[in-house]
Amino acid sequence: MSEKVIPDPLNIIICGVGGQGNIVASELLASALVEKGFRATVGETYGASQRGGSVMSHVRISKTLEYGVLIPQHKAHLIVGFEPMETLRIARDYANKETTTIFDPRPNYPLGVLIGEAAYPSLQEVEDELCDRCGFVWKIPATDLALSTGNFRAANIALMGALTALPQVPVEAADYDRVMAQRFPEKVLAQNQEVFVLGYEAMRELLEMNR
Amino acid sequence: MEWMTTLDSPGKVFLLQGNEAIVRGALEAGIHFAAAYPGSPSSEILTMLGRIADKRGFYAEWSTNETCALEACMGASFAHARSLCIMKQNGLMTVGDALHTCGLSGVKGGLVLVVADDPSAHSSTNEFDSRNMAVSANIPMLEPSTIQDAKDMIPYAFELSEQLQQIVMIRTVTRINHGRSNVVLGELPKSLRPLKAIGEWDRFVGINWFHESQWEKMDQAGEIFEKSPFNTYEGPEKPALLIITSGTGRLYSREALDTLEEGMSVEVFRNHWFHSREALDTPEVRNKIGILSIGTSWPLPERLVLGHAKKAGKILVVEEVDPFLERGVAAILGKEKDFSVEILGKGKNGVLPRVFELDPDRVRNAIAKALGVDAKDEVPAPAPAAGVTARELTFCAGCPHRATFFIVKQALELTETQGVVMGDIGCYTLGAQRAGHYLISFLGCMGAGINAAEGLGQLNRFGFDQPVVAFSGDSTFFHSCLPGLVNARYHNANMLFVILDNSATAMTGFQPHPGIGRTAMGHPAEPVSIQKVVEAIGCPVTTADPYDVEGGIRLVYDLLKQPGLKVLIFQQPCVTAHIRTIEKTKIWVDPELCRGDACGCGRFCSRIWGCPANIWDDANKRAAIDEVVCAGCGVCVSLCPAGAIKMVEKEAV
Amino acid sequence: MVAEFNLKRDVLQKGLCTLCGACMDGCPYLKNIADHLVMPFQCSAGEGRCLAVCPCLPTDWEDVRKRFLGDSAADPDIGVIAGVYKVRAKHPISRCQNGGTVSALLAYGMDAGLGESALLTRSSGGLEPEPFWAKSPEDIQEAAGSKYFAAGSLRLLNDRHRQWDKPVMVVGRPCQIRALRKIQIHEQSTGHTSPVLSIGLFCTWQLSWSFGDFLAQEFPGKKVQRIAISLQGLEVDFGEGPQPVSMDGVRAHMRSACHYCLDMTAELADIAVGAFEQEAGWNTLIVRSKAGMDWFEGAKNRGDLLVAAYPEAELQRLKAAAHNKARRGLEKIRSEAV
Repeated sequence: MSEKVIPDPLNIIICGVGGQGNIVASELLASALVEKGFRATVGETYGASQRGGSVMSHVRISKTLEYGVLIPQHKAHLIVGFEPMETLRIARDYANKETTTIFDPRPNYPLGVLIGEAAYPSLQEVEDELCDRCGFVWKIPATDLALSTGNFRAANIALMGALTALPQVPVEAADYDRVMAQRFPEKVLAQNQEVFVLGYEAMRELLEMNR
Repeated sequence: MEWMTTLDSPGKVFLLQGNEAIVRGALEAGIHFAAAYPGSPSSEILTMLGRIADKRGFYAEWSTNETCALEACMGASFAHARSLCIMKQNGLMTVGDALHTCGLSGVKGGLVLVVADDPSAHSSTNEFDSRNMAVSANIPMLEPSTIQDAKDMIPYAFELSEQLQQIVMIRTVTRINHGRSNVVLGELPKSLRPLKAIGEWDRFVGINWFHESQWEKMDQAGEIFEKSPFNTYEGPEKPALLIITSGTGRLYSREALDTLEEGMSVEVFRNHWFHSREALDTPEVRNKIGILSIGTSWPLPERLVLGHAKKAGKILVVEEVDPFLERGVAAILGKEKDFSVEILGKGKNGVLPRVFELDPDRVRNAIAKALGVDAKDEVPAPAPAAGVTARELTFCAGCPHRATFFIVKQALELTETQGVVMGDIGCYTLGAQRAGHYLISFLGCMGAGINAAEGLGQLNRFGFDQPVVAFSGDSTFFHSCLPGLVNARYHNANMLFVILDNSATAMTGFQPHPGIGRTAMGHPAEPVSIQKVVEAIGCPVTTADPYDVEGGIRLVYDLLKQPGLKVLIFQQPCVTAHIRTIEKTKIWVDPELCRGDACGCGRFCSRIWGCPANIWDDANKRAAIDEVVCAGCGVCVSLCPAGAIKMVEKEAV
Repeated sequence: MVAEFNLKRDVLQKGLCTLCGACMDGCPYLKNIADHLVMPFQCSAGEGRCLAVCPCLPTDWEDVRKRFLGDSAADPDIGVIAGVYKVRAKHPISRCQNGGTVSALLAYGMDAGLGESALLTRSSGGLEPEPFWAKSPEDIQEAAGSKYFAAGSLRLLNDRHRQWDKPVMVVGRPCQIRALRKIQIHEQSTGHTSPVLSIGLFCTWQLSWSFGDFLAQEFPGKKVQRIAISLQGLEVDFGEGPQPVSMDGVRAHMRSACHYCLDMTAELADIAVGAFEQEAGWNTLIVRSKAGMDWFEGAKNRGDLLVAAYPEAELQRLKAAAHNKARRGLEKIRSEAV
C-alpha cells in the first residue's frame, strides 16, 4: 500500500457540466483505488446532466471504513473542476483553506449567458475567489491538451492525469493505466493514455515551478 | 464497473455502482426473467441485464410501461421463474392496482420488485416515497443502506419471496443506485433452476378470499425480520440517543458521530477532522449514541425496535423523504402501556427537514439538535464575489424539441388567442422552462397531457374557446397515451395532439421502445408505427419535420383553426442518441453578414433560438458557432435573418 | 438603448395595427399569417426600424405633409387639393372596381418610365390578397379590383436585395401611404434616395381575414368572385350576381385599427383615388403633389384618362363623409385615451 500520508477519509469532488465525462473520471479513479486495497465510495449527480446541467461526483477514500456517498460541506480536500464556474460553485460549498483545487479554465456558457441575460464571471474573478477559499489552486488547460491529440472529449482524462500527479492522491499513473485498459477499447485507450500523460506532465511542471 | 458484474470471482472486492450491484445480485439469485420501464435512477439495471441476458441464459425486456413489466413478471412467476421487476417511484404509482392485486394473490417463483426513489428529485418531477405503497399493498419491503446491501438483498429477497409466496419490494434511492463502493462478490449459480409446468388446478388469482392469508404472510415476515442480518445495531446498550435509521441514514449517522461530541463545540473538532475514526473514538460519544439500522423496513421488526427503544433516553429517526419509519416506530411504541419516549424526526417540530434528500450535514445538525449541542460550523466563508449563474437546463444542440416549441409558440401567438399547452414526461418537459419559451402550463404524470387536453376540449359549451395543445413523446405515447387518444377521438375533443417522435426514450438514456425496432437484449423487432396506430384509432393525422420551422408554424396555425381532434406527428430523430455516429455538417457564421446586436437581428440565434451551439462572441460583437457543441442540424441556418449562418455542403459520395 | 415606444405594447396589443406591412420582413421578431401580426419574442435592438416607420406611433404629420406635398394649405377634411376630378380610364379593363383609373395611371407610369415596377396586390375574389411587384401591363391588370382585406404589402419594401435607386410606384391604403412617407424619411436619413410615386386609395375600413370564414359559413360551398361596397352596403358576387351581406355581419369583421383612423382620403399620397359614388364606372381623383400632377396630366394628355369637372355637391358630400370618419375616429380615441 502507498506510503503517502493521507487524510482519512480523503474527500475529492470532481465537478463540471453534464457531458464532460465526470462519471467516467470518478469511476476510473475509484476503481484504481479499490484495486489498491482502499475503500472507495462515489456519489454522483445524474439524469438531467445531458442537457447542460451542473454535475458533480463525490469520491471518498478510506483505508478502513465505508463512508456515505456525500461529502459534508467544506470538507473537500481536493476539487477537480472540468469547468471554471462549476469549480467555483462547488468550492463555495465544499472548499476550506486546506483544499487543493485543479481546474480547466475553458468556460462552458450556460443558457442565461448565451442569451445575454447573465454575465459569465471573468476568469480572473473566478481564480481570485478560488484562491481566497482554497489552499492551492492550479489551472490545467485540459481541453486544449485533449484537442492537441484530436479528441476534445478526453479533457476529463487529462484532468485525471493531473490529479494523479498530486502527492496527496494515493494512486500512480500505472494504477490508472490498468483500469483504463479494463474500461476502454484499444483505439480509445491509446488516445486516452496519451492525454493522461499530457495532464500528468502539466501538473508535474506546475508543481516543480512552484516548489 | 459493468464488466465486473459477470465475473466468476466470489469473494473478490470490486468497485460497483448500486445498479451494478443489483445486477450482480440478480445474477447471483439466478433470475430467469427481468422486465422494466426506463426511469432514473433505475434505468441502468435493465440495460445491463439486457446486454448479458443471452449469454447468461435469461430473458430481459424493456416493457411498454411498468404495468406490463410487473404483470409480465407475475406471469413468469406463475411458471416458477424468478422474476425481477424494476422501476422508479413513479412507475410504482403507475402499477398501483397490479401491485395490490399481486399482494393478494401472492406469487409462485420469487418476484422481487426494485423501486428506485429519487429524493430531491434530481431526475424526476417529484420525490414520492415508495415505501408507503408497501404498507398499502401489505407486502414485505427491504431498504439497502450500502451498495453491498443492494447486492446482498437481491438473493435474500428472492429466498424470502419464495418462502412467503409473496412479492417482495426493495426500495433504493438515487444515492444508492448511482453511488459506487466496494462490493464483495458472491457466487454465481452454474445454471438456472428449471421452471415448473402450470397444473390444471394451480392458481394465481388476486381475490379477497386470500386477504387473511396475506396477513399471515406478513406475520411470518415479521418473525423472519426479527432476526434478519440486515438489521444492525452499533453503540452502547443504553444509549442516551438512539438513532433509528434506514437506507442512507446509517452511513451519514455514523460519519456524524465521528465529528460530534456532546457538550463540546465543533470548533475543537476541526483540528481533529482529518484523523481516523479510531482517534475520535471517545468514551463520551460511544456511550451516548447508538445506531439501529433497519434493512427490513416493512413489516418493522417490533420486538427488535421495542427492545432498543426501551433502553434509550431519546430517539431520533433518520430516513429519506417521508417520516415512514418514524410513523412505524411511533405506532409500535404508542401501543406500549406505561412507556413513552421522545421521538424526534421530520415535520413541523422535527429536527430534519421533511423535504429533499439527506446529506451528512443535515444528519449531523439533526443529531446535534437532538443532543442539544451547537453544531454550527465555523469555516470562514468569504462573501461570494464573482457572479455565478445557475445552469439552466436546455435542449441539446440539434434537439428537434427546440424546433417544436419554437414552432408551437409562434403558431399559438399568431392565433392571437391565449392557447394552453399541456406537457408530459420526457426531455420535452423542459419546455416548461426557458428552453421551450415557458410554453407548458400543465404537467401531471405520464399520459396526463392528452387527457387533461381532452377535458378542456369539451368545454366549448361553456364558452371556452382557447386553443388546446397536448404534447407527448414517442415512448410516452406507447406508455400511457393510447387510452387517452381513444378517449379524445371517441368524444371528439377540440384539441391538437402533437407527438414529438424523436425515435428515442431520450431523457432516461436512449432505451428502445416499441417504435424503435430493437429489444433490450439487442434483437431486432418489428417496430410499431405510431402513425398507423393513430390512423387505426380513426384520427386525422399529419406528419412533419420540425426542422422546417416556417412550414411548421403555418401547419400548426392551420391545424389550430380546425375544430375537433387533430393529431400532428413531428418526426426527427434525437441527435444526441446518434451524435457519436453521425458525420457532423460544419456550420459557421460569416461575420461580414452577421448583424449581431443591430436592428434586424438583435442576436436572434443565441438569444431567441437559444441553441447552446449558437454563442455570442462578445469581443467581435458577432454570432459564432461552438463547433464542439454543434450537432449540424442546420435549423439556425434557416432562421438567420441576414443569411449569415452557413452550412458547408457535404461532398457527394 | 431603451426605446420609448414598444411596438408590441403600444400598437399590436392595443389593436391599433393597420397591417400596412412597413415593419414586416425586416426582422425575425415580427411574424405574420393572414392578418395576424404578432411579436412572439422580444427584440433587444431598442430604437429600431419598426418604430421609425410605423404609422400608428406618434408622428409630426404636418411636418411629413410639408416635406412631400409642399406648403400648400390643406383642406381640413380631405387634405391638400392641387386638383380634384371625376375620372375614368378611356378603356377600363373588365375587372376594375369602378373607373379603372388606378390601373390606367400605373400603365401610363410604367410606359413613361415614371416607375419601373409597381407595388400592388392580387387576389382571387378579393380574399387573402397577396402583395407583389408588378413589372408589366399584364401584371397591372392582374392586380385590378379593390381588396377589402388588409394585406401588408409594404413588406416588399423590406426586401434587402431591393435597390432603392430605381423609381417605383406604390398603391396603398391611407395608412400605408403614411407608413410609406415614414419609410422614405427613414431611408433618406440613412443615405438612400427613393423615388416613389404613390397612389392612395380612399378607405373607410378594412375587413379582417376572418370575414372569409364568415362568408364560408353563411354561404357554404360558394366561391367568392368579387366583393364590392356601394351605397347599398357590402355585396358579394358568387357568380350569380351581387348578393348583399348584412351590415351586422360586416361590422363584426371590421379590423379594430380602422376605428381609430382619421384619414379617409389618403391625405399624404401624390394622387388619391376613390369611387365616384353617384355614378357607377367613375372615380374621384385628388392630385396633391407636383409629381402627382405631372403624372396625372401625362396620362390625361396621352388620352388614357377621361376627365370631367368635379360636381360641387359631390365635393361637399365627400368632405362630409371624410369629416364624419375622422370625427368617429377621434371620439373612439378620446373614449379610450387614458
